[in-house]
Amino acid sequence: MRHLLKLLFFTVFTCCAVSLFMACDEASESSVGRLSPLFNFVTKSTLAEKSFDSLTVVALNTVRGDSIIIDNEKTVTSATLPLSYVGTKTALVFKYSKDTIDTVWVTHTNTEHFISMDRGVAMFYHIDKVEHTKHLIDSIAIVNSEVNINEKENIRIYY
Amino acid sequence: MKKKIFASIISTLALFVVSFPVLAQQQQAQRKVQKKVISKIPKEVFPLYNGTFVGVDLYGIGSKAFGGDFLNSEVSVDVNLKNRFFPAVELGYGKVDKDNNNISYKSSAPYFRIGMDYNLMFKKKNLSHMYIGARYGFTALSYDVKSAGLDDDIYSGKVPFEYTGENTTAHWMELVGGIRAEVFKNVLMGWSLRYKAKISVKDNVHSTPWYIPGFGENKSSNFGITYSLIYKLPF
Repeated sequence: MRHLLKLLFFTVFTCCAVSLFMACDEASESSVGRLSPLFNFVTKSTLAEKSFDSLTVVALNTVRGDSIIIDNEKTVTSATLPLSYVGTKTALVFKYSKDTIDTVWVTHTNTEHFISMDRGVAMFYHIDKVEHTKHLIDSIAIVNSEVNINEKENIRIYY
Repeated sequence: MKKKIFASIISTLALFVVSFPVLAQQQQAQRKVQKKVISKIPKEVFPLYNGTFVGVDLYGIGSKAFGGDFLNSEVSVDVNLKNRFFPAVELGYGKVDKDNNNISYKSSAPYFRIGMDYNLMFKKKNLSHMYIGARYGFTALSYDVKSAGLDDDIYSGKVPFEYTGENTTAHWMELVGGIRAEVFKNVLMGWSLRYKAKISVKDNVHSTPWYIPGFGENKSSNFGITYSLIYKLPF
């Protein structure tokens, strides 16, 4: 009788544990989506955040010719800007006003990467080189060359 | 006649009142003697070797049947030393075959754990006991991952995604707590709860392994459970 009670206790406990663990398994993360490098804008003389009265960023050679990524936004101090999945050099045009424009070319290595069943497959990048015009931009530094799920600052533009 | 009856009742009561403390003193003296005798019995000394146990985990198979993603089965062998220490080896095989969000992931590999349990009821000469313990786990695995690919909706172009035979290794530690109970002669049932902490998992260039046999989903830590049928070998 005592043995049967033990058997019953073990069976009931196991059923409860299985149910609990099945419920815990159901929690999941959402898909990671498109990964893009994070650009921070900095004033070179003070190293303070640079804020624009107006900023428009256009990606060149896109499906629709040129695509507006940021449209006339105020007080922008940073931006995540998309790179190409297939091409290895992406051109981005920064418009500060009607007559003040800079172009930034990012040379990158693309690596498609499976993250998990919940977060899916995404493109990771290694930033090899950044070139730019010097109308308003003073210089550009690659702070972190790896663009992945860590979401760190990648490129710092000094004005 | 009445006087005689009254006298006999009085004398009986008097005898009881007088004799009760004497009886109580006698009982106390007996208890003291018993205590002395008990304290003189030497503690049970267990030999170094107290038997070998072979167990099969049923939870890994059961959880798949209940709708889990992973199929797991393992065999464990542990040895009772001094009724206190139970060095253990666990050999298992894990498998996953999952399709979700246009991604297909397949993997199957053996895994290995080594460690020791400590019997919290070591003073009792009993097969049933509670224990705590630790394990080190290792696996070398291969996996296939396929997806519909990446469509670039901004710059145009499509990148296919299909990688098969991706190889990696994984190491982890486990803290174990559990209970075993003898349900029939030399047959035990037991469950254990396990906290698993990842030591390292090697990522590949195009993929991060999602499932680690014996560890579970590739996260910094997991909780696990085993429910085992155990047999004490007759030697």
